Amino acid sequence: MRHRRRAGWRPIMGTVSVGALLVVALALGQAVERFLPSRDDTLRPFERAGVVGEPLSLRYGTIEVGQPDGSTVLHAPGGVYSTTGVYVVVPITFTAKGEPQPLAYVAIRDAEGRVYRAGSRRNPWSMLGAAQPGIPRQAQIAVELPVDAVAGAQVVLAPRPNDMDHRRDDVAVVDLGLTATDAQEWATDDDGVTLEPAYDGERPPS
Amino acid sequence: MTASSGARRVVRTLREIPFLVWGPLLLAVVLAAGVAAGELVPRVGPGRIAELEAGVEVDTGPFLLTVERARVLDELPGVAEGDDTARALALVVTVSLTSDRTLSGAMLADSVALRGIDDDGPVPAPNVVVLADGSHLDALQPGLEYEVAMVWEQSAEHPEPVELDVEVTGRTLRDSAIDGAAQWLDRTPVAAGTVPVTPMDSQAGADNR
Repeated sequence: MRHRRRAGWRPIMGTVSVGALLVVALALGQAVERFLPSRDDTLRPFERAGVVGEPLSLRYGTIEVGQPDGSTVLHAPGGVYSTTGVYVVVPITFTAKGEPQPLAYVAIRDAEGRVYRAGSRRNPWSMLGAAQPGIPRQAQIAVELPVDAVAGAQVVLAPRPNDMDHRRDDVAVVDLGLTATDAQEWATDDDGVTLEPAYDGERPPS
Repeated sequence: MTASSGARRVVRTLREIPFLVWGPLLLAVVLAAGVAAGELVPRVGPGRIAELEAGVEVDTGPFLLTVERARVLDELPGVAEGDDTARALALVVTVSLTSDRTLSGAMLADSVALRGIDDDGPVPAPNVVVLADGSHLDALQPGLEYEVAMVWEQSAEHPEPVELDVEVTGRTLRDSAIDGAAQWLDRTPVAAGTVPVTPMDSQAGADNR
């Protein structure tokens, strides 16, 4: 009986050693994976920063963002809209490069990272389809935001409508240069701001 | 054979079984007990429907919404052009987003349904109108509160309701199994109840709120 017990300990110790080595290997693998770049990092878009009034060159064309305006009332081709926040209207000039190209994703991103998409009737944006290469397309976007989202807001533009498809592509991010003073001024304005329809050609001097 | 001698025989037999046999068996028993314990814990959450009350906020997941009041109208110009064959049923609702991204008005319309409006099941709102400007609410922006009228048409063949039976549906934010994108999925009723109706008013055309 004692001989059987002593001989039985060797396979047990062997099993425990193998198990311990497995656990150590798994822990090492976890630690290594923590230092490798995540899948989201490797697929992120390339954000190109710009400012109002300066042309921004991207893979698919050039974007220039004009001086924004705002009010609590928006006069748009689809109707007259009023908001409890502020409507911000941003003029945009897009010149496609190489091939006809739309700008199908337009949004305003505030300083806290909240994203306000344009492209609905209450938040209109119309490119009139794809812009022909070399011909400037003039368009405007209008987005309603809470008043506290205006200061530090940026406009974000990309060719594809789904932001998951912005992976590894150029995305324009232009600081609108807005302040809390602009927000307060527009929050008390009910004269309204008008959204102009899109057209091709140079923007007339203001 | 006495009980104690029987027990000693069992213990002696167990001692003779190798560790490699009874070790994994014991582990399997422990894991099974853990799984069973999880199944037996009473779950609180999805499946429990709260009582809906006028003026009380409901968290549906993507929306925080409050059903303020219910109206029955002959018509709502631009939305429900009523005639002798139909009437307009409206819920006045205040709503805001919980998320930090734009959501479609269609998801809001799908979140509030009336039961008993006709002979079929709950009917989601076909029209959602912003009270401030009469526009169709096709997109909600984060950080803003909207006061809207959700409007249904009902055949005049049905008796005029004195209360509306409302069902609110919620969703869960999770990664889609199809494309991995985070989406509001898993539609589930989260609140239901009746809201008393303000009777039809002879000045309904002038005051539709």
